[in-house]
Amino acid sequence: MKNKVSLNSRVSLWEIILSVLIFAAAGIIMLNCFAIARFTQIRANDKTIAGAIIQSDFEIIKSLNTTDEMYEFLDNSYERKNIGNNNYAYTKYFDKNWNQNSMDKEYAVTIRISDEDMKSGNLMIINISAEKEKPYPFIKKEGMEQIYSIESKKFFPDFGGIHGE
Amino acid sequence: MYKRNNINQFSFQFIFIMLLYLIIAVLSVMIISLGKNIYDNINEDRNTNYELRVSLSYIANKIRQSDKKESLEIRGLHGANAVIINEGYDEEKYQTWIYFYDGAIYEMFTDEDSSFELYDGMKVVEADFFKIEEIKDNLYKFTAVSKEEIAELYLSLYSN
Repeated sequence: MKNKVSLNSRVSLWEIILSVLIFAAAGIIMLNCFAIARFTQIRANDKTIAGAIIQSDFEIIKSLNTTDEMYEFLDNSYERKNIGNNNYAYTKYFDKNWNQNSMDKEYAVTIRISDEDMKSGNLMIINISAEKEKPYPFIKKEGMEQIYSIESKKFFPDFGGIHGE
Repeated sequence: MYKRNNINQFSFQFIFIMLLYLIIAVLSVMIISLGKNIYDNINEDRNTNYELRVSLSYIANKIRQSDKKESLEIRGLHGANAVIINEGYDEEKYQTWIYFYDGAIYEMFTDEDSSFELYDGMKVVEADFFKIEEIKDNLYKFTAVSKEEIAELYLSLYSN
């Protein structure tokens, strides 16, 4: 017994197993925190990109002069769906890298338009929202599928106005 | 016989305890390594996000605050487009040039039509690429690229 190693018998095997279990539990909590941090960051990036896409589409709509031009832009850029009562929703889909893609649908940007007829023209109430098809993992909160949403109005005059020449 | 059993039990217990410590050590290294990777990814994403967001927000705000008749124009500058904001102070005319040069967006405030070198400007934010396009009279398009991520922003002008 030349190389005998003395063990401190005061620490029992059960205590060591218990400490390993506590360590494992702490490790799982830490990994969960890392995962939450990662998906929170992904959500923040999605918000930035969705915000830029929505703002851009709004700016394009605001630069148009007539409702015909607006519907032409929507029909060319979005897929049209009838949502009842002769109202339409316009949707375009993006993959996980925010490239426009109708096959791999990870994100959707939807425009809903309601029309208020006025004497001198049309007042369009436009709502644009970006949604994620599947909720973010590890972040369990209500309404997390919606990333960004804006509602605004655009008036298209029938005659006159700065664009009505 | 009793002594031999005791030695076997001792060595098994010793190996098992060492194995547990080894598991703890390996798991610790794995968790630290995983945490480092996740932190690196978060940091990289945050930087990319910052560069894209700041570059587009900066130009959007500059244009919004100068959206007056004949105040904004887009002009070629060394092969790329630049935004020019025309301003007047005390009957003197000045220009603010916003352009992309050497991996960053620069701003240059100068007298109207005076010449300057691209490196004379003030660096605002770094970006891998930044492009300014005029789509039509009242609609501009800005494209920012940072670490292979592309962000686009359209801006319509109310003054044109």
